[in-house]
Amino acid sequence: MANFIRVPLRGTTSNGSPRYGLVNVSDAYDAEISPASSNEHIRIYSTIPADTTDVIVNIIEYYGGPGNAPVTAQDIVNLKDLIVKANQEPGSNPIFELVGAAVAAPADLEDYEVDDFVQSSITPPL
Amino acid sequence: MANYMKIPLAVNPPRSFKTQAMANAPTWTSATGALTSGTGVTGQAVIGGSGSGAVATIAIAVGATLADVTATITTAGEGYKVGDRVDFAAGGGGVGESEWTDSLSFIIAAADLIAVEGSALNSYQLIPVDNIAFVKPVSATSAELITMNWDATAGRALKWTVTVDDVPATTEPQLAADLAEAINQASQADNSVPEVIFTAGAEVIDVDYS
Repeated sequence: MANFIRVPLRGTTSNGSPRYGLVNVSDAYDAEISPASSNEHIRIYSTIPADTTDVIVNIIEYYGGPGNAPVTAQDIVNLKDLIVKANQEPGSNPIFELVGAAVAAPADLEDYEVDDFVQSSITPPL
Repeated sequence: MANYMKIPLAVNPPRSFKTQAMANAPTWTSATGALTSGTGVTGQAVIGGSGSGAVATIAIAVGATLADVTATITTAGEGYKVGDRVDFAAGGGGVGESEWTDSLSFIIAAADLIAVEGSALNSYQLIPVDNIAFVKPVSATSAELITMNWDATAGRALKWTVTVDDVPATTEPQLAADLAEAINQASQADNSVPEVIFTAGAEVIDVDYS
């Protein structure tokens, strides 16, 4: 059974339709802000090999918007806690919201929503 | 234990023509007219059927029998179904042009319309959700279910590509969210095998794993 976390998707309709994307965290062991991403992307490292030196890394890309850096170090701490929770409580599929979303002006909320996901093979950090 | 979801495949949904020659030979709509071979006559409106907006070029080859008539779709239109009868009003007859003096009818064949995977015997695609990494929004007519199964040869993970028709229209993020919601439900309730419910009634025309 897979365990997921859910994240708000930017641009979904507001008429009661689904509004979350999800990321599989069953084999996740680490998370970090993607380097050179202007604090808009989060890498989630898995233990699944992609080749002899790399592992599969799923990347959550936040909209961010011009000049905004939505992801903070506290977000990464919270995400790791949520990854543990998701794996301790199968089927819970908890929702992950960035800290800044709680205090953002309504017009800026989209900065804290996800507009894409990317998968990559990356050498795990030492 | 594996958890699954179902993606409903539209069975003969209303859809667009391919821009190519229609597969079937025509018949006279009512009265039997006369045929004259010549160059193609452009801009002939496709009349009737369940759709609208399609346009074709009618050409009649030497021999000038109904079997020599070709209707080549040049504007795809929308909303047509296999089995629809569509007509072309009498036309042509300019210098060197083909001419047909009464209305011609064509029955739409499956090969005339954009391909769909669904059929009466194949009405849904089963998707195992446990190895899906995420749903990647691609466009208003496509989303990808990226898996955790790495293909070293391709240098990427294997993925399911879900394609929906452009009518009825959904949006890029909503299509992804609808698929994600079914994965969420499948992972939360073993053996539930939820079916994806698409916002705005989007119709799936193809699901591929590659």
